[in-house]
Amino acid sequence: MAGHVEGWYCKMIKSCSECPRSASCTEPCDAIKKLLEPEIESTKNDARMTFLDPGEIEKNIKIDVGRKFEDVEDLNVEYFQTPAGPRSIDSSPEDLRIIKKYVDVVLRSDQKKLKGRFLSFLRCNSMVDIATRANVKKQAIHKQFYNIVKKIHYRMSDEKVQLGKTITPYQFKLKLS
Amino acid sequence: MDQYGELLEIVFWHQLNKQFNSLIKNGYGIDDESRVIFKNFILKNEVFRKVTEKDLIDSLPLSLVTDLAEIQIITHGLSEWTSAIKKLNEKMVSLDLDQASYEAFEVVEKLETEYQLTKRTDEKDDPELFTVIDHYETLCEKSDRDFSTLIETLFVLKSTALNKIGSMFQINKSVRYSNDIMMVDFEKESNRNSILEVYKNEFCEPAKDAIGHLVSATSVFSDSEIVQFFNDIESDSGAKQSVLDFVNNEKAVFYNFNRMTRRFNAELSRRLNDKFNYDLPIINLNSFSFLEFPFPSA
Repeated sequence: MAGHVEGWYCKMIKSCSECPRSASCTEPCDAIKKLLEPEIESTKNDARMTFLDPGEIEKNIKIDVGRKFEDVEDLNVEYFQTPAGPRSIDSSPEDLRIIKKYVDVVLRSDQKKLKGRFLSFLRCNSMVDIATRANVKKQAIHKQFYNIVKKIHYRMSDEKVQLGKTITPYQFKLKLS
Repeated sequence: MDQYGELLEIVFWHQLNKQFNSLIKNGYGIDDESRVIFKNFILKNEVFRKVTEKDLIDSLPLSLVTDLAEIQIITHGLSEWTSAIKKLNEKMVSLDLDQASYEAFEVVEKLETEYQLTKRTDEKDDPELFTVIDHYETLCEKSDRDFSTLIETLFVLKSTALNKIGSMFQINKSVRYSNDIMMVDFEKESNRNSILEVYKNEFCEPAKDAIGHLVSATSVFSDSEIVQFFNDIESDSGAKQSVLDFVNNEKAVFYNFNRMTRRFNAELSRRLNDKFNYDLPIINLNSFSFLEFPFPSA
């Protein structure tokens, strides 16, 4: 295999290749999960794929007092950690059902992977994270999501569902939240 | 490949194994040896990386057609097309690579959360970038440059032609494998000229029409608008890095699209001018040739 470096490369794949029982595996076994536990690095983005130390985790926690609970006077409320980046969909099951309906309408049945990526974006994953997980360039994700949003927007406008003038995928997400 | 890449490959292969299990449930005989061969094929060739890393290929639905022994070919996922191949070789089965990619994506998302594999990337909206994408997509729409629709149209044409030809003689008895090509040899058929005519009329001619606007003399004008768009952004000293990155990426995609379309046009022209070639190419047997040139064989 191209780029093979003995000893470091292919720890996981080696584990599967050498395992006599792995040919029909359908989910990661304990041996693979064990390899997920120590720090693993990504060459795509050095800041990714590292474990956070407790201090780092604290820095990254954002309590959303000012936004989500701005009208709540009762201090005995439950606080949640909010995702990074623009606000994600905080939709009811009904809202999500409607959005999924539009995604289903604009994406053909053979565009499963695209649908999965876009729904993941609506679930608050960033486009960069989605690109890494899908092993595609972020520029490709930007273009794919832009086209989906444009089609959904046209479709919703046709059906008199008011969204206003949304252009970017983020604005679309915000409008729906 | 880093360990994250390895994880993607393994999870992707697991999803394909689920499809194997469904085939077994439906009565296909798949022995352990075949599954080991398949495992090695997927993991050693880094198939997930190969099918996702190119923008144009990522935009297409993909299938893996295999005889569970020596042949493993990545091709277009159109069901009419994979069915046409399976009719020619009954040992072939097809696996849905898009379904596997979709499921693998979901599994990895869960693993990322469970094992805290990744630090979530903070990301801000980028209206300038999306304005540029909007402009670019409008230009592409204007010149009818939708790669995935074009390729699907071509495979529909090829499948339709094969089905028509299949009703003219015992096509599956004429399949042969030569020079890395699976082909149908109809030279000995008494109606060979009629078969050739159907192939040209049902596939070659309409395929040429389908790409006509991309290779004609007038295509230079629509292309020049897009090239000018690239140049304008590249020469703008105030352009954002995200915009420059987008343009840089699309430029490569644009020229690759043009190069492949011209090559396909040349292949069609050669075929149309050849009056005595009674071989009908079905598919390149090289597992990954589709990823380099995702057009049907002419």
